Amino acid sequence: MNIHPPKWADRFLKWYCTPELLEEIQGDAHELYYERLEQEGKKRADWKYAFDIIRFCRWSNVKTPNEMHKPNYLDILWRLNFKIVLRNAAQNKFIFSVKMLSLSICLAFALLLSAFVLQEYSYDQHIKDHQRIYRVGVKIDIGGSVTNYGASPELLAEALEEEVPEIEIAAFYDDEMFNYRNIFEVNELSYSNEKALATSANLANMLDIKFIQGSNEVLDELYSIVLTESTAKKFFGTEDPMGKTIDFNGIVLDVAGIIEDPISSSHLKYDILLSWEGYDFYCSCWDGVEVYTYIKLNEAADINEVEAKISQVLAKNKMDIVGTRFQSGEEMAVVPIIENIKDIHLSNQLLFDTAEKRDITNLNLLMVAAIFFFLTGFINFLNLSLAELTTNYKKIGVLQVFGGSMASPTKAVLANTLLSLFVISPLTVVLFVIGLQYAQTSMGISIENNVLLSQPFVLILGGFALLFIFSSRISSFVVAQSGDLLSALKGKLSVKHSGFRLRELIVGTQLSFSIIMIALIFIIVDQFQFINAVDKGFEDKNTLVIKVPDGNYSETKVWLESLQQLTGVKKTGISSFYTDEFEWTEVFEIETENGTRKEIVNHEYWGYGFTDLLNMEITMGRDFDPNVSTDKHGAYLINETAAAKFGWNDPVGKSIVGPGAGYGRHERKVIGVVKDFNFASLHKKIEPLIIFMGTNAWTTEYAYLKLDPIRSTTLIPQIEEAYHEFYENMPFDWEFLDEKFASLYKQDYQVRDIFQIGLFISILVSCLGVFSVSALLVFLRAKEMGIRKIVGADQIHLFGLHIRNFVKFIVIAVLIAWPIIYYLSSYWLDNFAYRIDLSIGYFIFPGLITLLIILVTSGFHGIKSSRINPIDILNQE
Amino acid sequence: MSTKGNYLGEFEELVLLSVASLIDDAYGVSVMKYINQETGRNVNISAVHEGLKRLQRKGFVESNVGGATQVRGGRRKRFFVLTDVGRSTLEEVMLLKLQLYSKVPNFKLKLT
Repeated sequence: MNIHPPKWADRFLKWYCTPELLEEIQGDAHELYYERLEQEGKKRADWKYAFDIIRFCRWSNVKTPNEMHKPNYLDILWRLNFKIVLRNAAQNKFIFSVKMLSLSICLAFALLLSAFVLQEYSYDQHIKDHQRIYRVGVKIDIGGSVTNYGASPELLAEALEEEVPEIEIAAFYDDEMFNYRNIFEVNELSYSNEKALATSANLANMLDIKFIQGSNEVLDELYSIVLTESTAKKFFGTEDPMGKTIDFNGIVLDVAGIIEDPISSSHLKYDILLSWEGYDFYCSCWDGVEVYTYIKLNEAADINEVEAKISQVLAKNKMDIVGTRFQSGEEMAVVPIIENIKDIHLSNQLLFDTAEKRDITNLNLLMVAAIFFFLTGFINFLNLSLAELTTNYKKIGVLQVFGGSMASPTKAVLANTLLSLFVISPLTVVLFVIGLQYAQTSMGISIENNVLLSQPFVLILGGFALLFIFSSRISSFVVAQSGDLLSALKGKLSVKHSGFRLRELIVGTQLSFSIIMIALIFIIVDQFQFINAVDKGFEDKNTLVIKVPDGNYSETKVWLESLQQLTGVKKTGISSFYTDEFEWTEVFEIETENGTRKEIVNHEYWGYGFTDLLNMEITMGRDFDPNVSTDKHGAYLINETAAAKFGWNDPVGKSIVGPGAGYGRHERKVIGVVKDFNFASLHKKIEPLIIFMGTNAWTTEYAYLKLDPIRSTTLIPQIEEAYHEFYENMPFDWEFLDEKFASLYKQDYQVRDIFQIGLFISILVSCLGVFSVSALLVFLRAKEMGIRKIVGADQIHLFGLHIRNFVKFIVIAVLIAWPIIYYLSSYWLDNFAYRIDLSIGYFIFPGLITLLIILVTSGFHGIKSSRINPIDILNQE
Repeated sequence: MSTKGNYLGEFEELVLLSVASLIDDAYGVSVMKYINQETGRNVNISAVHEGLKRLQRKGFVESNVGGATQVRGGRRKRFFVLTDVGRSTLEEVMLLKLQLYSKVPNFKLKLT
C-alpha cells in the first residue's frame, strides 16, 4: 500500500489523542479513508480524512494531564526535572530568592536606564518627516574670532524660501518679542513664567503642532494667541478659553486656539504661541541673530547642496548681519550651522540656543551603566544557578541512568530557566513600574509611553530574553563539561572541576562591575564637591535676585533705594546678567600696539556697588564711581581673562570701541580690572568679559539684594509687599543666587543620583552573590573542612582557607576594573573645564571597599565553616 | 463519572439501536454506515465515537477489542454489544413513548 492518509493529520492525531483511544480512532479513520479512496479519489479522501481527524479533536479524546504520569511517557523526565527545580527552590529558599530578586532588580534598573537613554536619543522623532527638517544657526568669524550661534537673522527664513528651491518651507520663531519681560494679564492676574514663542502657521505646520481647538492658520492672524492645554487650564481654569482676551505687555490678544502640550521628548518647549504678525515692528532686517530658523526640504533634496546654497545666501548678506560693527578690510565670514531637528537635543550647546539640551557624555555613561547592569544581573544569576546545579549532580546522575540521553543535564538547566522566567518576568515588571514612578516623582524624569512601545525598546527586551537563554546554555555547557556520570553518581561534589575556572571569571567580572561603580561614584561626588568649593570669584550666599518687570533703570534704582529702608537688606545692585541667561556678545575694537583689533566679546552692565554686593575683587584700577560723571558713558571694566586675551599688561586707560546707546559706536576707556569670576556652570571656561555702566538706554533685567543671613526668609514677604506697592499688578519673581547656581548642574546631578542608586544596587547584588556563593562553598567543602580539622587544622587556618577563595576573585576583579575606570572617568571629566585629577586613590580604594564587603559577607560562612564539628560531618559516611 | 443522568439522548438512542441491531458487528464505522443507511442521516465518525463512548460510560453497551484486520493497517476494532441495562432502557424508552403517544387525541400510529 503506497497510498497513505495525509501524514500531518496522522501526526496531529497522535499528538493530541489519548493513547487508549488512539488505536480505534485511527483504525476507523483509516478504514473510512481507504473506502473513500476507492469511491471518491485521493484528493477528496485526503480532505475528508483531515476533516475527520479535526472533528475527533474533542475534549474527551484529548490527553489529560493525568495521563502524563504513565510510565514510559516522554514528559516524565520534564516533570521530574521541574520537580527537582521546585524542590531546590523550596530547600534553598534564601538562594532562590536572592537569585530571582537580584536578577529582577538589575534588569528593571537596566531597563529603566535604557528607556531613559532611548528617550533622550529619540528626541523630536515624533515629528512627521523629521529627517527633512533642519534648524539653521550661523557661525560668525571675524578676523579669526569665531562664535557659533543657534539663532539666525530674522530675514533668513524669507530669503531661503525664495532663493533655495529645495526648501519646501522655511519659518522661524522668536522668543524675545520685547526688550523686557513677557507679562500676560488674564482676569486681572498676571503671569510671567510662561515661555512664549512668536511664530507663524508654517512653523506650527512644520513642527507638527497638534491643535485641539482652532487650526494653525490663526498663527498668521494679527493679535492672536494660542495656549497649550495646561496653560489654558492655568489661565482660565475650567472655563472655555476660546475667544477670551489676554493682555500681553499692553497688547490685547484673542485666544484663537488650544494646542497639545509639547511632549517631554521635544527639544522645543513652549507654553504659548503668538502670531508673529504683531511683533515685526522692531527690526525686520538682517541685523543681528535674534530668531530661530527652521527649514523643511523637499524629498529629493540633498542637504549638502542645500547647505552650499544657504552659505551663498548668508555670504551675500554678511555685511548686513554683522552690520555697523564691521569695518571693511577685515576677514569676515558668516556660515550656516545646519542641524537636523532630531540632533539638536544632543548636539553641542551653541550660543543663544534655547533648545533643551542633554550632554551626550552623561548619556553615554548611563548607557554603559545600563549594559553593566544587564550583565551583572545575568552573571549573578548564572553564577548562582551553576552553584545550585553542582549540588544537584547526584540527582541528575540518577535521572540519567534511568532516562538515558533524554535526561541530559541540559533539560535540568532548561527547567530551571523556565521556572526563573516565570518568577522574574512579573517581578521585573513590578520593579520597573515602581522605578518609573520614583523617577517621575523624585527625580523629575518622565518617560513617555511611546518610548516603552518603540521598536528599540522592544528589541532590548528581546535581547534580554536572548541573553537569558544564552546564559542557560552556558550553564548547561558547564555542567555537561564537568560532570561525568560515574562521579556524579558517587556524589562527588568536586570543587576542582573545570566549571570552577569559568566561575572564578564570572564572579570576578561581577565584582569588577561593583568596583567600577564605586570608583565612578567617588569621582562624580568628588567632582561636584570640587565644583562647589571652587572659587567662583564672587559670593553667592544670601543673595536674592529679582527679575525687574519693566526694564527701566532709573525706576529700578529708585525702588532699590527705598528697599534700603528695610532692616535686613544690606546691599542692593543692578545687573543685566543672570546665570541662566545668554550673555550679550558684541564686536569690540580693541586698542593694541599695532592699531585696533576686532573681537567678539561678552558684555554686560552693572550698577554702582555691584562688585561690592557680590564681594568681587578689583585687581587693578577702580570700580564705577558715582562721583565720577564720565563713568556713566565713558568707562569699561574688564575681567582678567579679557586683559590677558587683549594682551594688555596695564589695561587701565586703554580704549575700547563698542556699541553705544542706540545704534552708534562709542569709545570708552578701561578704568579697572575685575578678578575672574565664573557666572556660568563650571563646564565652561571663563571667557573675556567687558562691563559697562547701566543707564536708561539699556534694559534693566535683574535687581540683586544682599540680605542679612539671619532674617533672609522673613524678609522676602516684606520685599514682596514693597514690590507690589511699586509695581502694581506685576508678578514677583525671585530666586536665591546660590540655589540657582546649583541648579545649573541639574543634568549632572541627575546622573549622580542615578549612579548612586546604581551603586547601591550593584553593591547589594554582589553582596548577595558573594554571600550565597560562600554558603554553597561551605556546604560543598564541609567534608574537607571536617577532615582538615581532625588532622589538626585550627580555626584561623580554616577561616583563611575559606576567605582565600574570594580574595582570588578580588584580584581578577581589580584587574578587569582598572582600565575601565580610567577610560570612563576621563571621558566624563573631560566634559568639565574645571576638573579633579585622577589620583591613584580612585583605583585603590574601591578595590579595598569591595574586599571589605567580601570579608564581611563571606566571613559569616568562613567562621561557620571553621567552627564545624568534624563528627557531625563525617559520621554520615 | 458525571453525566446528565442516565437518560438517553435522541442521537444516543439511534446509536444504541444500531448497536443492538448490528449484534456482533457493531464498531465505529459499521454503526455510522448503519445509521446512514437506515435513516439517511449523514453523521460524522467522530460523533458516533462520542456517542458510543457515552453509552459505554452509562453502562448501556460493553466493548471489547477484536482481532487485527488488514484493511485497517493492522489496527484492531473495538466492538460494542448491548448490555442488559441497555436492553431494558431501550424497552423503557419505547414504552414511555408509546404511553405518551397513546394519550394524544386523534393520533393513530400506522405501523406498516
